[in-house]
Amino acid sequence: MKTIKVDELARVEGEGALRIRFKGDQVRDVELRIFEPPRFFEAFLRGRSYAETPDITARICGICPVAYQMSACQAMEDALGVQVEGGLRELRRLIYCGEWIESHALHIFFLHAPDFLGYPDAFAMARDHREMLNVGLQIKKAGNAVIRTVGGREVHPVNVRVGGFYRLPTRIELGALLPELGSARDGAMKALEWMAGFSFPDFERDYEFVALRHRGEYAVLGDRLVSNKGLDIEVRGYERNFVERQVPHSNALHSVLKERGPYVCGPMARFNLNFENLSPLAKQAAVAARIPVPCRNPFMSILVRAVETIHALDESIRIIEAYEPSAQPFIEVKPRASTGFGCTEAPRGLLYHRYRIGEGGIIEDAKIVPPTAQNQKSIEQDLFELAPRMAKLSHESATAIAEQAIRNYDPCISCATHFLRLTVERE
Amino acid sequence: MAARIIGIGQATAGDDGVGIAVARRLGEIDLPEGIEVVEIAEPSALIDSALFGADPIILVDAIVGGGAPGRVVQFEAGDALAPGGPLKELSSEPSPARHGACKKSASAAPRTLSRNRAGEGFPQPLEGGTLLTTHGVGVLEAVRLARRLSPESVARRIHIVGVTIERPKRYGEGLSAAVAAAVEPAVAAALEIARLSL
Repeated sequence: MKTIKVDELARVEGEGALRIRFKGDQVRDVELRIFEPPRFFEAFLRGRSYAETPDITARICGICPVAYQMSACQAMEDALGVQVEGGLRELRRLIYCGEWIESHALHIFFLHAPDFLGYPDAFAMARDHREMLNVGLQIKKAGNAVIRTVGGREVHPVNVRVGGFYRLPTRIELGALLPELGSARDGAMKALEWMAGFSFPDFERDYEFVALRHRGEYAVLGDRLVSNKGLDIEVRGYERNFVERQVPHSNALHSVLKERGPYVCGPMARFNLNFENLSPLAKQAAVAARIPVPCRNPFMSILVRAVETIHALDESIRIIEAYEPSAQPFIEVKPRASTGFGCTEAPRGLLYHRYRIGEGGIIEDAKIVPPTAQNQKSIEQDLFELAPRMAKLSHESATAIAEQAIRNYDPCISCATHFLRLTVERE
Repeated sequence: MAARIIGIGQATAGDDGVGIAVARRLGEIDLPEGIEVVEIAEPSALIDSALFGADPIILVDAIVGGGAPGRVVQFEAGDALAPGGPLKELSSEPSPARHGACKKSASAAPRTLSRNRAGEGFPQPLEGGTLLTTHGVGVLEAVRLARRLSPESVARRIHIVGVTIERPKRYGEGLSAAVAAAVEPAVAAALEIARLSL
């Protein structure tokens, strides 16, 4: 029996592993282990006030705090019968764009690009591609600046609350971001052109892609979930259509569609399902980079992230240019006993929150489904399909392709893994 | 130029929050002018902003595998990055394909503090400790990367004050007693470095 095994350690959590076992050239099974019971943070929320959720959940993740804040706010507002629309909603889209820009730039340039170019990491890559990595830094900084300006600070923004914001930025504060966003957009266009020249493994699967949809937008916030295989439901119907399964090899729960099994959320799903709503410039850049629509090659996700980065920069510029501060920074909410549902598009994909709150606004029950839990089964299936190729490769090359395949999904710190070691066993 | 003390960690991950606890404690103190304090949750923030615009920079972070919890160690990032440097990062465990180049020997011992406020004997040399890290860009990796990408503008002096911890808890607030007791010595260590530059 040949086993390919990748161990990992992540900052907060710890151990997980990828194990691929072969009998001869036949793959016996693939197990991606992520020892992260999501319900730990659900227990952490019980007994806290509804108003604390944006700040508490923001601390779950150092990379995508805005996503946690937005899903928490949406769910609480749903529970309390409030709809945040107009200028406040635009400002939410803006801070979310900042997070997409920052998170995508980190992943594209510093984590994924080295895989395509054969470097062990960004540091080694910097020797030959310093200029392009500095473009990545410039884009990341522009995203951070948006988060800082709207959210009050870059890490764990403090300005978001149920019903809106504590304080609204002025036109001048936001306007000051425009030159930086403009040059980041130019940089992202140049980077996409460069990355389009990478070589992509010939690999496709017939995925079910699931993303939010919202009238005429490349959805970040929204109320419907759609797929390329006929799913079209309200967010509140999530748990009637999706189920989380405990699997023997992992503490993490695998999320699957009850009817059809594994699915993919995140950049590829959004791109394939909402392509028409990309900004004209982003659409044009995608066509120029010759990304097929729909795109079923997960290794091309690096290009799709670059397109989304261009879109998010474009969208940020559009929102800022049209910005007029709302009369009030937030809508008053009154706590009541209720259950609320929220789902938003984190950089890595769907982030679903559901809360049940009691009369005083105290949380009685919480459920959070992060994007990586939803993509985990598809990652395993990709690895299963790739395994016969890996069996023919050297240990080093097999490790590299396994890690690259996992990084196609940009698994998150708190939500996933950091891979370190791979072991191969043959029967 | 101002000195900057950066607390790194997650306040909701038990002892991993020690860097944040140090930053918050510093926030309660009447600091000399010219010292600023920043909290970050994730080391990738170091590459684009936190390591620029101040000098020296003192990074306060948790260290796993450095022996009993609650020890405070201090060293310069450049020493740790040098061949045979004292620390390796979790992310730099040997992986033949991706991380081999980052592997560090754990043989040399970092400089330990000369004294601590509690008046106890100071920590034994740290061997084989690992700075906690996340998501592909660790603390030392971020320093190394920033130095390669922006050699002209990154802070020249980057120090690390580490507090040894056991494995961090998942979604638990507050520090263990041993690590909580190390907050004041770590605050003193960070301030001492910062003050020297004023």
